Amino acid sequence: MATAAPRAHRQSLEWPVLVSVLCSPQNYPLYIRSVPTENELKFHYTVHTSLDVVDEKISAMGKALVDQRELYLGLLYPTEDYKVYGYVTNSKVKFVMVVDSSNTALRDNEIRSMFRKLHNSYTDIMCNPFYNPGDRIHSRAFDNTVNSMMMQVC
Amino acid sequence: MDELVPAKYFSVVTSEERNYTEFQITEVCGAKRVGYFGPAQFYIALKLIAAAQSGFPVRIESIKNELPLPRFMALKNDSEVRYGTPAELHGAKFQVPHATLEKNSYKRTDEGDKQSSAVSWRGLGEEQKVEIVDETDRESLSAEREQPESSAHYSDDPWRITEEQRDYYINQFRSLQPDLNSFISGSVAKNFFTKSKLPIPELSHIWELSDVDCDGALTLPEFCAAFHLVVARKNGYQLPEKLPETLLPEYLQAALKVSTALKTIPKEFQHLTMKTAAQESNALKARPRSRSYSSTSIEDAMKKGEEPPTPPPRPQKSHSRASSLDLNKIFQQNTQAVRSGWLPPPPPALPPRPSVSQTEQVSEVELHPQMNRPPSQAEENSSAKKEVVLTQPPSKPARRKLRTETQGLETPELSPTINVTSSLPAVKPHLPVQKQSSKQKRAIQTAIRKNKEANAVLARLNSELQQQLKEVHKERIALETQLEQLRPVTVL
Repeated sequence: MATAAPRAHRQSLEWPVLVSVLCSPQNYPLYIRSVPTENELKFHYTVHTSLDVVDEKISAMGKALVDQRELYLGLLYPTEDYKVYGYVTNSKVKFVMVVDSSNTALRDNEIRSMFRKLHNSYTDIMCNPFYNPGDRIHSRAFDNTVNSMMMQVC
Repeated sequence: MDELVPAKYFSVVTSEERNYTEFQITEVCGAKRVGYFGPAQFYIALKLIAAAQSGFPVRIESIKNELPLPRFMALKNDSEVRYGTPAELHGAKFQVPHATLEKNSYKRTDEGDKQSSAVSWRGLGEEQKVEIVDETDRESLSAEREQPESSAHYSDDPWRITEEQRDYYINQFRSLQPDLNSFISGSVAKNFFTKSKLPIPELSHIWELSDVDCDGALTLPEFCAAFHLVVARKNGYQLPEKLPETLLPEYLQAALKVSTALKTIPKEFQHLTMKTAAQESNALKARPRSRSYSSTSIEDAMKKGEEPPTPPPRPQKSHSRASSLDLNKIFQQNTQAVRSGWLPPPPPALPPRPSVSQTEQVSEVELHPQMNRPPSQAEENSSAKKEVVLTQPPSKPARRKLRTETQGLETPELSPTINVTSSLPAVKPHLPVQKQSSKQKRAIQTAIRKNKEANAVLARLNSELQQQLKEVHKERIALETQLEQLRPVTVL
């Protein structure tokens, strides 16, 4: 564990965002992008469980007061190692991001702007007539956007 | 094809030979006697050239030796064609083993005006048909693409669209959409490109590359780019990761060239000019994409999608836009602030990029009602930068392609500025580096002054917006905490 900690610390400097996931309204993943380390499966599991929290927040809103503020769901679930943030679009596509807790430089509005970028990129993909909503996302441009977003601290 | 090669062509071919040797060769091969170069004489002459080049004496016996192939420096394509055809053997009368010509020069060479490819002679006696142009690619074209595009691939760059290709694409565009200035919608384009029988992921990638403003529709230049990529893919080219410069629509091509040209400027000016170039390209990219996600439901979002790119000023909503800015408030406040001439303290040297792009988007939307400002600003910036680019060519021979294109671009657009800078291109490339850099610096400084003014305006906007943002955030946090208190606590 002593070796894992400095490695994780290094990771958090290079890759502030550990995992980005896009989920369809039916809760299957459209796109998963994670830092290539061990424990990827653990992150996948975490994201999957955090979908429950997302659903809860969506249903809790209830009324038609869905607007930009409600698109960003904020911190879903903090653990000691990492935090999970959520965002939902108007068409109920969910974005989930896992961020390293030791990276204190990432503030809330930065997470917001990252989600906004993700949303923009997702909209670009939707504009592509060859993309059927509900397919897995294979776009190289989208990959590049997500990579650059995950690697740099905005 | 006429087999008699007049003597003057022969001398063109052998122009690097010493004259005396050439004289000897013409004598020995019998042309002098006969008065012309028939096929036999030509073959003998070429064999003698090979002999002479390898140092053997020019004698009839020399052709019996095993000689390496003669090397020629071919000067023009046309002459190669002419030399090519006489080399066809139809029952050679003489035993001239090294007599066939194969054309290497018509392969795709890299860009370069002078095709100084050596014409090398293969030493095999069998009959070989001369391949003048590689027509082999014709077969790979599908029936729908029956145009002479194969020849077009052998211009400098496979990603460059030739005139005939462009005409063909324009005709296809017309068949889908009669108005050349409007769009082809996504579904129409999808059906059309699916006919090309490329796999769907590749078509998807082609779409991503060519739809640069990401609006789900193709304008004429975007359509040409997409079509060209489809054709290239069918001919076996791999699709690039990024759209090649030559396929970009013109307004982005200019911005891209300017920004790449700016990379040659010494580093101390680079950060300023790169920022403005980035701002300009961001502005150009952001112009069609004023997306706001503050819609209240899917239906509202769809309705807004049908409006023109700039959303009309919305009625004042108190808390419907929290993290995205309320553009109405800012617009009014901004015009007031501008009128009152309030200058905020200067911003930090390199503001973080998202706020740059954000302010660009917001400022684009704001200034849209005053339509003149963004295009004139962009024009100002681009004209200032093109001045700079004009001074680049003498000192940067490596940017040859850039120079010819920018010169081509600039002449129709910038005749006033060319008068101003007409003295500068007269700078000889042999000036010492310091003089060049000082002249560059002067030109750059004028460009910088103009860009700084633009920067100041944008910086003002930026700081105002940042302040607004902070206030709105505070409000929002307060409201959220209230909301949390009111909600029942969820235990995980």
